[in-house]
Amino acid sequence: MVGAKEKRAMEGINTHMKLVADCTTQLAKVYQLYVGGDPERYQQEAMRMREMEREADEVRRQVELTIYSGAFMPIYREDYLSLTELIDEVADGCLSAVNLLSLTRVRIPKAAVDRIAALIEKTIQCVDALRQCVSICLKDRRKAAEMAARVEELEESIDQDEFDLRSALYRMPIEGYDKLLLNDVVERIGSISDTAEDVSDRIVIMVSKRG
Amino acid sequence: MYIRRLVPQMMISYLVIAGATWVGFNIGANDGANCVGACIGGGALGFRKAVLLGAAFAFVGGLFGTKVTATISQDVLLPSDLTPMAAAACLFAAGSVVALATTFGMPVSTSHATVLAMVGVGLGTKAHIEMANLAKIVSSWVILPVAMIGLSFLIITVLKSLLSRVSSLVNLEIILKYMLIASSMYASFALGASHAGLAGGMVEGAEILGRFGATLLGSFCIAAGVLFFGGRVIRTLAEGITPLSPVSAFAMQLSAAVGLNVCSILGLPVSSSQAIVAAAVGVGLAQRGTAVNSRQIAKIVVFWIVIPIGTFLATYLFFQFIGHHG
Repeated sequence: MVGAKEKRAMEGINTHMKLVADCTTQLAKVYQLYVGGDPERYQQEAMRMREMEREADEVRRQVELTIYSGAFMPIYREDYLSLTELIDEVADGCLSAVNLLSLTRVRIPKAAVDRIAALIEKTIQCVDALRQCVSICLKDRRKAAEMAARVEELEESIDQDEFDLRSALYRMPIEGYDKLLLNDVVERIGSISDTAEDVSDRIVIMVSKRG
Repeated sequence: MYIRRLVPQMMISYLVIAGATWVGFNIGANDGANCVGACIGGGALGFRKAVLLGAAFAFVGGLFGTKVTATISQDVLLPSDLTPMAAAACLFAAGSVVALATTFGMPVSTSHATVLAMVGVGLGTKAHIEMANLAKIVSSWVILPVAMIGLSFLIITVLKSLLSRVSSLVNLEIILKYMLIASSMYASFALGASHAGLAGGMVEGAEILGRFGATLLGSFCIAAGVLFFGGRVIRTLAEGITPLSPVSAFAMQLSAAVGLNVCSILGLPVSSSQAIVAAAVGVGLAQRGTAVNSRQIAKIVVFWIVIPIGTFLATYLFFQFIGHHG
């Protein structure tokens, strides 16, 4: 059938993006369990997060195989491969934040709990905007600039919140080592939206290349 | 006279057939690349599939090329002057010089080489040259590239406007892919139609085969040339002239195919490489900010001038020689 491989690849990209967006939602759940003091459930949900990330990886590999098997013209294949790679980095960012919490068991001060939760919540919105951007732009490239602008707007807001939170953390009366770890946690959460913005930029470039 | 006694008439007829085969192979190897090179460069088809399909369409197109066969067999030199010896000399001169260019990976004009070879024969044997027809043919060599620049410019401008209405990325890419394949096949068809007569016309003029048989021979040899010998020139064209997007490649090929097809219907032997290079220039001009590889074009233009002069001199000097010593 004409375009069957291309359509299969596109469905795969959308599925991959949805799984990655689910990883971000899972990050919020894992964080709440971490600060809520339920270590057993926290471990379960952290494990679930790793499974979700693996599932997303598997879908990405299938997409790559479909692309390499002849979907799209060679001149455009690299665009789709780079796109899926970048999307995957969003999920990697979520997992990286959870791994840091699991490894370090850093205590999060009360003053920072809600602010980090708010940062994660905004990150979920940003990744959801990205999910819509990917889904809509591949179907209607004329909307690319508008959808990408939404992602960028959210990313800029997250950048500002991240900066403010990191400034506040350094002023809090906590151990210097904990400050460094918390700073790292916040930075990793902040990098998720940075990667999301890179994905939206990539989509805009893909659309521009095709005239 | 000595040489003519030495070489029996039958052998000269075989030489003509061999020469026609040689020219046909070279057309396929050199000019066939013009049709599929852009398709491969744009990534619409793999090398093997593109070459196979190109050969098939060139063969079919060649069967429609009887008008160019007629032009070559009777419109430049009188049929009485296009002896088997003259035909063999033209074919080997044109074929050899074009083969040399092919080894350098340069797209050159077999049409120009063949016609100039015939002029060389005419002057060398003091035969009558149909100057009015020759003037018509030569003026088509000037008009065609100009027309191709304009046509390709127009096509790509209109095409971009039409394609901007395709909202889905996937659908756009699928459309581009099949457009590119279709234009390659049409270009191959047009090549066959416009060039089968270059080889076949001599065979008919020398009264060795009838018009259809001569055209069939030309078609077959072109297809074989595309299939077995076109690799180097294909790669040059696929990569060398202007950065190729599928849209650019389609505009180039469609323009060239239309130009060749029109000329084949008019019975004018024109250059497919000239058509595709001029179309590439038109596309480059339409895409503001896209550089045209002017060094590559200059190199190609030099070969376009040198090769026909070479074939003219080869046949003229040959007949001067046998005129003094035969």
